[in-house]
Amino acid sequence: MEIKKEYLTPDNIKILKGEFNTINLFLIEDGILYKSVFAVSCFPVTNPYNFISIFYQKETGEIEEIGIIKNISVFPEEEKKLIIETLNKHYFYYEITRILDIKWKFGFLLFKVETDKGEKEFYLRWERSKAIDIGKKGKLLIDIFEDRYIISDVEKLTPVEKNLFTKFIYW
Amino acid sequence: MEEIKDIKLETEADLDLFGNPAKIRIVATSDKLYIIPEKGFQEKISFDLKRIESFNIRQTVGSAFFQIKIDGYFIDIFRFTNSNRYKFSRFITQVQNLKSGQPVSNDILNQPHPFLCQKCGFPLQTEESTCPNCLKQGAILSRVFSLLSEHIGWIFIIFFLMVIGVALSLIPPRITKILVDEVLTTRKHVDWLPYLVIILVSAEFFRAQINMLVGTISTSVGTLITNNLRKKLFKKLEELSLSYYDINSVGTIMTRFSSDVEAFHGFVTQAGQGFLLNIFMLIGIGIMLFSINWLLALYVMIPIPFVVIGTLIFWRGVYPKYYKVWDSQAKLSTFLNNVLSGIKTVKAFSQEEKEFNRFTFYADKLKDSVRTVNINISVFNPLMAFLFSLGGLIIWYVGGKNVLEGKLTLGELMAFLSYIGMFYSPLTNLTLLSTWFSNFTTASHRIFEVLDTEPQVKEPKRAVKLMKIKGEIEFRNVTFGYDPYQPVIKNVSFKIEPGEIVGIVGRSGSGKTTLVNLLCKFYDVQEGEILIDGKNLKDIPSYELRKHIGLVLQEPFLFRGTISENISYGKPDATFEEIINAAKVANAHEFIMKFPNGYDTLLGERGAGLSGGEKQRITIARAVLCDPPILILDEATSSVDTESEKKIQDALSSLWKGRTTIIIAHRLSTLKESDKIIVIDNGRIAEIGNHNELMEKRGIYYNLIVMQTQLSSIDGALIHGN
Repeated sequence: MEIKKEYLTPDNIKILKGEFNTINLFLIEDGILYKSVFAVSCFPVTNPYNFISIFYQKETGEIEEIGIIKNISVFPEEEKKLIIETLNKHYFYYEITRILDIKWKFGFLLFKVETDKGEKEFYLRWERSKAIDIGKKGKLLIDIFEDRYIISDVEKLTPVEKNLFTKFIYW
Repeated sequence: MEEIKDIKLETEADLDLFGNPAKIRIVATSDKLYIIPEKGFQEKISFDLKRIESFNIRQTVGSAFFQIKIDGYFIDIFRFTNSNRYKFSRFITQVQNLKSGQPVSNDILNQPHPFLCQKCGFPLQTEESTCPNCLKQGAILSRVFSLLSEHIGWIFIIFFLMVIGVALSLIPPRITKILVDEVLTTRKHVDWLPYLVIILVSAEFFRAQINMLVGTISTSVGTLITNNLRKKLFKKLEELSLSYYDINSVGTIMTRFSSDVEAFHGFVTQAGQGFLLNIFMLIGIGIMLFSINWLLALYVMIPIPFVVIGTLIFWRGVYPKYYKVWDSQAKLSTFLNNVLSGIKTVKAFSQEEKEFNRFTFYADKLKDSVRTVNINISVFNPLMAFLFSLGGLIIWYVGGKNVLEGKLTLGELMAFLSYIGMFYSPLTNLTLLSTWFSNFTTASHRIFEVLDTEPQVKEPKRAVKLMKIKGEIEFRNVTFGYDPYQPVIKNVSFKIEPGEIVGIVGRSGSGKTTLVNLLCKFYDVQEGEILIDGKNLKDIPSYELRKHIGLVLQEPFLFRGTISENISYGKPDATFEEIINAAKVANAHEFIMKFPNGYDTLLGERGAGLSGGEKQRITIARAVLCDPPILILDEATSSVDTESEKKIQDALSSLWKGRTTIIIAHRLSTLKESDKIIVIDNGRIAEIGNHNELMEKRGIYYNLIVMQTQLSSIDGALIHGN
């Protein structure tokens, strides 16, 4: 079965709600229904809601791309909602709203923060690769378990928080 | 809520399917799997285990979904953060066992994460690392002292000389007192003048001699200790498995060698010339000051809190700013290295202006960070000088009054002033002791952490010696993943007879090279076993095993040295004749002889000066020279041009006669003559057989051959078209 690699538009696909909170994709021209598809952004930082790649999982568990949605806004509202829902499911991170404390210990930083999902404490290996730029002003922190924490704009931290943060994450 | 009976497995997930923090109870009985949300936006659901075809974990960014396959489709049934990956990687095995009627253990799900200290929960560098948090400061110091113990004699000498040096430093102000009181003002002992000057000169002379001696001895001892430490570190790094290098970047390891070992060196020399000396000086001067006039000595103490607090505040504020300077320097040099090595590309794409702007950005950052630090220092130093002088001024005022009132002699005042000139400086140094000490203990921690790390590949306690091997290889139900949660090789079994030529084929990322890594024991298998001549790889020491394996990699790596040194790398005692023979077999002799210095030609870093094909032929000669019964060629010809490939192929075909040879190649035409071809797909063996058998099968191998044939005919058409 050959998979179409052209851009996916409302003319050639239909996004449908499936069983158990899944999303299905129907290729109109070929009459093929891909069950339990999921979306991944090609540019998750710079252009997260356009150029969305849609994947399906083969029986072997392997994943394969069906195609790319170049422009989500051309889809009917209901389908757009489903695509965004599955897209958001692919990414999970804590948005840091306040830094309460950072302590250095033996090459690790112990962060105590308030996030959009409640208060959290996590260890970050004190390495450049674990605190990386996201966008022009943001920082992505990846803790020892690979859980992700985002500060969307370091400049928006209070002077005390910023001072504490840049004392350790100075790059 | 219905009561669930016969619970076999029970655990909790921390996210609902939509990524909200949740409490999802996961319960498995002998015949059902229940998902019971206690908090979160998800419906309660249960599945018959019989209906579930398989289980899977789908890793996404920052979290993972637990999936079950029903009616040929995978569906997400619950979700968890990455911090729960370890638990659910165990859960999947247990639930699979449950489904297939095998015994299960719920306790295994509650075992603490192996990368966290079992005692205090502090993160560890690797599973086997010692916990730095549990290692007491005293324990570190005792280990440091154990390293110093070999040089204990010298350390005592330094200590003894230092005490004498301090005593000598205290003499001049005392002599000044006598000079002023007994000779210059009262003129009671005018004849003492030359003797007192001789004593002053002698004290200064011997102090200088002792300082020289202390400096020389402590530097010698310091360099000796750090040199030993570097050797120990390097030895350890050679022992560590490749998995250690997967986690730790080369840059981080280089830091261990440079700054951490230097910090250690700093401790030894500083302990001699800085820390201890300052303590002795403070004690000595304090005794002198109080012995001259205890009340005046108390006035000397007035600026002390300001000096201590000022220094602490300054360093706490400025020290992090130094990081910014180091970081800016590192970024600038990385940028320059990057751009200058790719200058051809920069020019070819006319990006000089863009690169100049990027350079300006990094250079400005460096300028700003250096400026900030220097301004801070420029403000701090005069402030400290003022505080020091304040101490002197207080003594001038109070002491001066005492002299005028006859309570103190002028000589005593002069001696006092000399002593306080020597008093504040050691005090400033000792104030920084905690910063300096914490840097030292951190560096020591990092060094000991490497020294204490156990290699992931365990060497056998009772080693099996491999004298001569036939070359029979067997993989039995081998499962392995670099990330244990995501196996790359899944339950793979195959057997290779001695002398067989076996091709391993598959798409990139399918696990071909991982099979080779396991066979070479660069990593230990997580499940199953690998046998060589019927002996389990786990019982064979790595160095013993690798003597029997010749490995030619896709990226040829040559060391800085001559061609002959590179060829004889695995057999340093090879004769000239053996080296030439190996080069001839590898089709390398011809081009080597074109160099004016032949086999003695010095190669640059990574074989600079040779083409890709030439480098590869030298690595083949290196493998030939060791005459291994097992030869592994991992994409050995994929990065060279067609002409070089032909020469390498010719070299290889003469090489693999009579040896067990494993060839990983993406150009499948090279595998036609193989006795056996193993097709790997997604970590599993998809097909196995010889070329003809697999072609008849019309499976993955057939498709790959058809694809490559089509590509070559397109290439051919293009060539003919031209």
